[in-house]
Amino acid sequence: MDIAVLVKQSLDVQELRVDQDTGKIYIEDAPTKAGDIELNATEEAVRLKEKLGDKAIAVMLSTWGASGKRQKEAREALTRVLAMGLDGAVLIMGEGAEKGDTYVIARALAEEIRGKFELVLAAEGSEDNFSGLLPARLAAELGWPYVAYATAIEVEGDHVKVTRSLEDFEEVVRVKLPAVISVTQEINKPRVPKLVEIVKAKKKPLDQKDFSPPDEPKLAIKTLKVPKVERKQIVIEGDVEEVAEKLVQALREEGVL
Amino acid sequence: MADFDVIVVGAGPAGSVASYLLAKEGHTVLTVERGKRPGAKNMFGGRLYSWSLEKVFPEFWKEAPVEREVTKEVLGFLHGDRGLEIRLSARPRGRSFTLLRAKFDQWLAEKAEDAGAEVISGFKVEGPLIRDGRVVGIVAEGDEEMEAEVVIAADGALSFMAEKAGLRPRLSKEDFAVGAKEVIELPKETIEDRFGLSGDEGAAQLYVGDLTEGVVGGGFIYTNKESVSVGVVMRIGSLASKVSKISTAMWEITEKFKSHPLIRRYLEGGKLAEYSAHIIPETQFMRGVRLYTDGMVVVGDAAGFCVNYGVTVRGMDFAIESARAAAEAVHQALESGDTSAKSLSRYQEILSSGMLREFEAARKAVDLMEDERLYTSIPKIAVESLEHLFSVDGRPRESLYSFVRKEFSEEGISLLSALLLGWKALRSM
Ligand SMILES: Cc1cc2nc3c(=O)[nH]c(=O)nc-3n(C[C@H](O)[C@H](O)[C@H](O)COP(=O)(O)OP(=O)(O)OC[C@H]3O[C@@H](n4cnc5c(N)ncnc54)[C@H](O)[C@@H]3O)c2cc1C
Repeated sequence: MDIAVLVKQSLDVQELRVDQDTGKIYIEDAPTKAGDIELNATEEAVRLKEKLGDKAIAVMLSTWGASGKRQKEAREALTRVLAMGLDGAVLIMGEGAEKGDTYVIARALAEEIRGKFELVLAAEGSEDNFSGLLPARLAAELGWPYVAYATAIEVEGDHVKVTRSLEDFEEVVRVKLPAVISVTQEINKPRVPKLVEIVKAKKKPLDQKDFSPPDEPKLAIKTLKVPKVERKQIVIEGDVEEVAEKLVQALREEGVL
Repeated sequence: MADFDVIVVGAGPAGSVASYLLAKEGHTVLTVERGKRPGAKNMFGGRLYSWSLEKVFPEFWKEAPVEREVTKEVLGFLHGDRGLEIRLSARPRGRSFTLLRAKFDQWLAEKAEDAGAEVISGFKVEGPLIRDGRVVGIVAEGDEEMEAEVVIAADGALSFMAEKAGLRPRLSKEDFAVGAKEVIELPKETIEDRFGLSGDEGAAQLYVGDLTEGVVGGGFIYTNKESVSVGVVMRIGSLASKVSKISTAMWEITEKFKSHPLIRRYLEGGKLAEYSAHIIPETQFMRGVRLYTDGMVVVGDAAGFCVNYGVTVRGMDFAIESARAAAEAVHQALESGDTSAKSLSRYQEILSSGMLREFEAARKAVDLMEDERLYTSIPKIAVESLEHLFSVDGRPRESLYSFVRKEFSEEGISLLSALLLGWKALRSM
């Protein structure tokens, strides 16, 4: 049973620069990487694979066009997950991919996965958008069952037993393979690859394919802006008691207290 | 057999140039960089003298992400809210370029990668791997050992590699200076207007005066394409005795510099894009550094090839040249199958017949710039004398000569020592 791990090329949100005055986000300047929860999905794939002795492959469909910079980053992100113990990677990227919405991406991924894999692991949400839509959409395209928010996965023959952590309770479900499962960050602690593993990862098979979206996206992002947080900019002066009193009063007026 | 022919620690300019040259010769090279990406953590003032990199990549500026070619040099004296600027508009022998390290270091590292070096970022090297008194590799984060025939320590000013291999003593506060810098974004046209530039021309502006409160150091502005690099450089030794927290002091002095009327007008309306600070090894300390041992050589800042002129620092060009010399020596050592200290001593020989002469001259100049009066009395006298020269208020005016004499005696400087000081300053430049 081969496992596919979906790895999104996410923006490194910690390095996003924002123009405070205009709300403009400098997306093109920010680097990308494999999302953190994708590392959990990878770890889980590697563990399952170690038990089952099958292959686990990273599948990345990049929506960043095909500039040299983004290509390099995509390969680096894949090297990172390969170093954790995956056997190979598929990178799908191409001009015109920037417009791809979940619908387009899910269909393209289904094309790649159908017939080759029996289990798909994904993050419950991506690091940059966190819409969490893709795994469900992909399952629908494939016509496979979908289990979300997994905190534990066990393989039982041609079934998997998945523990799901929900707000008030924990649910254990059993599904027949093939299936799509999204994992949470609680599922495991991703291993940190060693230097030698990174060196070796660079030599693992990485199959790059061109992506030209066959479908028209159903959704388009019109603008992307940072919400403006207006500060009241109230400065309270005086001695400690006065300040405390005025502060309490001000907080009451604002309805905070 | 070792895992690699060469392991290079650090992907700054020194590390990447050494990696590039050795990979190009067909050696297996692993370059390990602590930052998320090469250059991610690195900063400098702003100007690269091109002579050494030109030897590795002729006309590199056509391809490399440089910002502007420096054609305007400004020396400024600040006193209180007054200031004096001396502007040289020329294209001196030897080109120099302003640049931003994040982009430039990444470009250089990519050159090394394209030549076949494995460049791995986001990994810290803990120190050299030493067996029977010989460096045989590195110990990486998580106690992982990796072997190499030769290790090149290019890990910058703090170089734990050199320290742990016993090539240099431990640094103390007095052994370094600090620099702080802000990158402020401005439209291209605004920069060209304010600094009197056109096309790809750039300006390098240095300022001394009372802003550093008597500490050896000063402020700088370098123009980039669509931003300016503004900052200060100061001796820690003299700073440590005066302030309790160096980082706050650096920040405050940077703010003071930026708000000086002369400087403010260059920056008005700009947007702060980044702030960074870094240490600079002092030349005195570096005199005790050894450059090689069995299985390892030290290059760039790690070897102390950095000159702090007080206001400006020069180290990129030396880092690159030392890496080139080291790569040549390491290549020969690998070819001969002998990577002992004796064989690697070739590195020092190559340097001695070339770069070290220029470097020693630069170091001598620095000794002359030590005089604190250059940063306090001289700027004051320069500003006030010119102010006097241009003051007209209808009252009889004292001659400039007698005014200047008075200024010198107020500052406790005899005319003879003033001449000497001037001579020293001229000689050191
Ligand atoms: C404020 C300031 C202004 C300056 N202005 C100028 C200027 O205008 N012109 C000029 O020519 N020079 C200038 N310099 C000096 C110049 O920055 C240095 O001389 C130059 O960067 C030295 O290059 P290097 O490759 O030896 O070291 P660095 O550029 O410091 O590179 C060392 C690399 O090693 C990495 N590293 C460190 N430790 C480890 C480890 N344990 N494991 C893995 N990686 C590690 C670091 O992340 C870094 O990438 C300035 C310096 C400062 C601080």
